[in-house]
Order: sequence, then C-alpha cells, then structure tokens
Amino acid sequence: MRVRTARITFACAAVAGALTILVVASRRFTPAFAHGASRSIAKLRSQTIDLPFGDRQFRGGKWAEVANGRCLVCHSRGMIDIQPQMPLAAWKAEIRKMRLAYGAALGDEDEVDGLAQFMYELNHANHSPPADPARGAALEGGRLKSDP
Amino acid sequence: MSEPTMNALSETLLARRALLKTIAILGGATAVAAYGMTLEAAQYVMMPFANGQRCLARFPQKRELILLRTRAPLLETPMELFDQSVFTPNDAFYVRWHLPVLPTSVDVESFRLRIDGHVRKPVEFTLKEILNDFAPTELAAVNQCSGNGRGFFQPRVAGGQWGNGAMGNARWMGVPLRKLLEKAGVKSGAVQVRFGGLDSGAMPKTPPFAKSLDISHAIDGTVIVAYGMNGEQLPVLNGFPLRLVVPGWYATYWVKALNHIEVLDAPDNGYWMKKAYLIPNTPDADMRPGDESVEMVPIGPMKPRSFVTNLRAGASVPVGQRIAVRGIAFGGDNGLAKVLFSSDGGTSWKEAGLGQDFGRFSFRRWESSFVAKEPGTHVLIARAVNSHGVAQPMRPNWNPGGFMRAAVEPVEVRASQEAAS
Repeated sequence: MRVRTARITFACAAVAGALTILVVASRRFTPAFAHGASRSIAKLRSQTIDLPFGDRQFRGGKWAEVANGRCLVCHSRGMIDIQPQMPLAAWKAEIRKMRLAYGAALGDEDEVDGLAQFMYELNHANHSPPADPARGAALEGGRLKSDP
Repeated sequence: MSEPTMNALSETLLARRALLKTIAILGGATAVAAYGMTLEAAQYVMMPFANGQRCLARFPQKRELILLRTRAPLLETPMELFDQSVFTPNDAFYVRWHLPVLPTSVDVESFRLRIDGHVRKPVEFTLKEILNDFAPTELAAVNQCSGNGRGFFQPRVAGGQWGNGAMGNARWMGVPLRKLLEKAGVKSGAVQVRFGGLDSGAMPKTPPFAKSLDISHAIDGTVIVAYGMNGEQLPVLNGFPLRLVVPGWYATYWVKALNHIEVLDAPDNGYWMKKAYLIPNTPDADMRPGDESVEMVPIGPMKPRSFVTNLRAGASVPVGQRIAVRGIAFGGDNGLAKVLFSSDGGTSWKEAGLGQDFGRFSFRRWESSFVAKEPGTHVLIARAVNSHGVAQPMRPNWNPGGFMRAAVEPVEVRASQEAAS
C-alpha cells in the first residue's frame, strides 16, 4: 500500500509546540512500521492460547441453581452483572430470546418467568446505591473481583 | 485470592485520586483461579454510566483491557490508548466474541479456507497458498463494534455495555476477496456471500455465527481476507489466522477465524442476518422507544465519529491560558473531510487541524486549542464531517439494540484559577 508521507500540517500555529509533543509521543508508542506500509508477511506461525473460563456462580436457592445450569453453559456471569437496570418484562424478553433463539435448555414459560424474577432482583440489587460511596466502591470491587 | 481490606482499598483509592483526579480506579491486586489459567485482574475502572464498575484484565496476547465478560470474551480498549497512536496496537485492540467455543489453537498447516455454494468449482486454500499465490494488499481501516457506546444509550438497553472503546484502527494485510472468489468462479444468479468462522456455540441449537454481504459488495475490491494486522499475524482473540475486513462497515461483518465462504443464490435468512444486528431504517438509526411501526433492517456502513482523547470529563484546566485539545476522528464509510471544534457547547465552531491521512477508512488525528476566559464549566465538542458532507448529529440516536451511536461526544471540563497556579 502506498502511504503519503506528506508533512503533518496544522491550521493553528499556536499549537505547534503541542504538535511536537504529539508527534514524538506517537513515534514512541507506535511500532516503526506505523508511519509507512508494513513489510509483507512470509509465513504464519501456529498459535495456541489458554482462556479463563469465568466460573463464578449464582448463589441463593432454586433459581440460582437453574441459572448456573442453564445460563452459565454459554456465557460467564459477567454478562448479567454488567446489565443496566431493566424492568421485569425486559428480563423476560432476554431470557425468552436465550431459549428460542440461542437454544438455552429452559423447559417452559414457567422457568422463563422464575428465572426472570431472579435476574430482576439481582439486577435491582446491583443498582441499589450504597449509603457510603467509599464502602460501596470497595464492595463493588469485591463483587467484581471474582472473575466476571 | 487475597481480599484487600476495606482500609487498603480506601487508601489506594484516595492515593490514586490524588494522582489522577479524573479517573476512579479502585485498587487492589488480585488473581482469580480459573480453568487452565490465572486471570490477572489488577485494577478497577469506572465507566461513566450506572453500574459501570469494570475490572482491568490481561488476556493472552493482550495488555490490560477493560473486562466486560470473561466468556465469550468482551474486552474494551481504554480511551487513553487512542491518545497515544493513530493505529491501535494489536495487544490493545478490543475483543468481541459471540459464541463460547473459540478457536484457541490453530495449526497453520492443516487450516483450510473453503469457498463453495453457488460457484463453478468449490475450492480450498491453505494458508501458504493465500500468502504466496496472491499479491498482498494493505489498507488502514477502523474496525468498530456495532454496539460501540451502547452504555451511553438513554434509556439504557440490554447488551454488551461498552463505553466508546469497542473500536480500533489497524493496517490490514491480505488478499482481496474478489481474487479468491475468482478462483472458485461465481455463477450467475449469485445474490449474497456468507462468511463463517471457527467459533461455535455450546448448545446444539445455537445458530453458528455467520454474516453475509451482497455479491456486488463482496466483489467490489474493497473487501479483504486479512492475515496481517499492523504488520504481524493476528492475535488469536482478533481472529487468527484469517479475518474478513470490510472497510467502512461495522465489525459484525468482519468475521473472525474465517474458514468458510459460501456464495448464495438467495438472500441469507439465517439468525445473524434476519434477527440480530437490526437497526431502524431511519436517518442515524434513530427511533422513539416503543415504536413498533419502524422497519428494521441489517446494520451496514458506519457513520463519521470523533473523540477528544487528551482531556476527560471533569478535567481541571487553567483560566486564561491556551489549552491544546486533540483527538481522533474517522469518516465512517467515507473519508474524513474536516473536524469542527467548539469550546462553548456548540455555539461557535472552528476547523481543527488534521494529522496525516492514512486513507479514507482510517482514524485521523485532529488538533485544536482554546482559552477558558471564565472559571467554571466549559463544554468541549468535536464534530466530524465526512467527504460526502455527512456531519455527526448533535443529539444521540436511540434504538433497542444500542447500535450505531455516532453523535458528538461533549466533554465538560472545569476551568479554575487554582489549576493555573
């Protein structure tokens, strides 16, 4: 690929000093080839990586067990913990989508309803503002720390 | 796993606040045991929306990124990275997988890319053939998740709660898709081309991830089957060994670990084209919440966007001094024509200076400056305009999928005499 090497020109003379810093910074942080075309790649090397599973479970009764068995087969718990505050109907719609579109092993609508209520309550607790922000931050950290 | 005490956390918090002022990082080193490896989650960051606490975590071949979900991985690039370089380093590039069974081990000798379907002769390519039998082409292009910025939607919507870091810019090296399709010989009557990868679901009924482009788009010469990213082979988490590159289009089409190309003689009716990644067929993919009458269509090309990268919301700036403001911008599916900058919330604008042009699909740096004449809040806004004259909207869009956010991203800074001293 042909890459233009024209000088960077800026309309505003007043920022010339900042520009110098910008260019120096970008040179420092980007690989040498970043300002010209890359060298060609002659061959690829096989790669293997080891990924974390994300095994944190739900706790608290029957529906926690259902969630552990049905939801966490396909995704880790973080997907649920990061959700914004949502009404019960929205949780039902999400769980129904998991059952119908993604093939989650949820038996019937009763199971969808029970799980939706469980997720709704968990979601509500996630969004309840802590009385003391510093304490809340620490608690949130403690909660999230165990592998979303 | 060591559990930092409350006091230790508070002290770390206060110390970091004193240093950084604008970012809440809740400290405490931790290592979480997981299957087969240890996930290092050293720090926490706060995204600027409700329930925005996130770990920073280091995944294989990646530096510390913002962790949304461990499996399948969702990893976001911190905005600071975009201030450092117009190209996003491979180890800082965001990660987004749909399905839990990933190709974590790829053998370059046995890997094959298959082209079949509505073709004269189905064909399989080895990686050696793809690297050696075709002239390489290279293109700088932004890869952006369709849901980038979903966390900012109001009202909030379900899905991956990204800030604006589900994007990156790289030089992609590979073979034009058109050249590969020529080897198989597309038959007349071809309508679309479907792309599939090595990933799969954990449940038998989960639809395999596959996306399709119209045949005219697939053979127009812009689409690349890439094996190089910023001069290196791709990280596994970004789609090694081959990834479809669809310049100017959202990343949902940039199929990772691409191993199957199928030419179709009828439109793709699969889940990932007909049900997922749908946007309202309206300007800026904008609609009213609850409006059932809107036609929904597959997402497609990107819109222009721009970001301030050297000042964060809440930053303190001195009164009466000239302050440099800089960032990145891109034109969406077309070149960036200009970036406008306002330091008074959009009342007045001036044209920003632009950095080196790496082509119409790349990030481009912009630079401007302002003087805060009065103490108090000043709202900084960058606004990108592309070469078709499309400017970023001033108000954010809304749709139920949380897709295609492209409005301006105002940054409120505080000017004070103290900051000047």
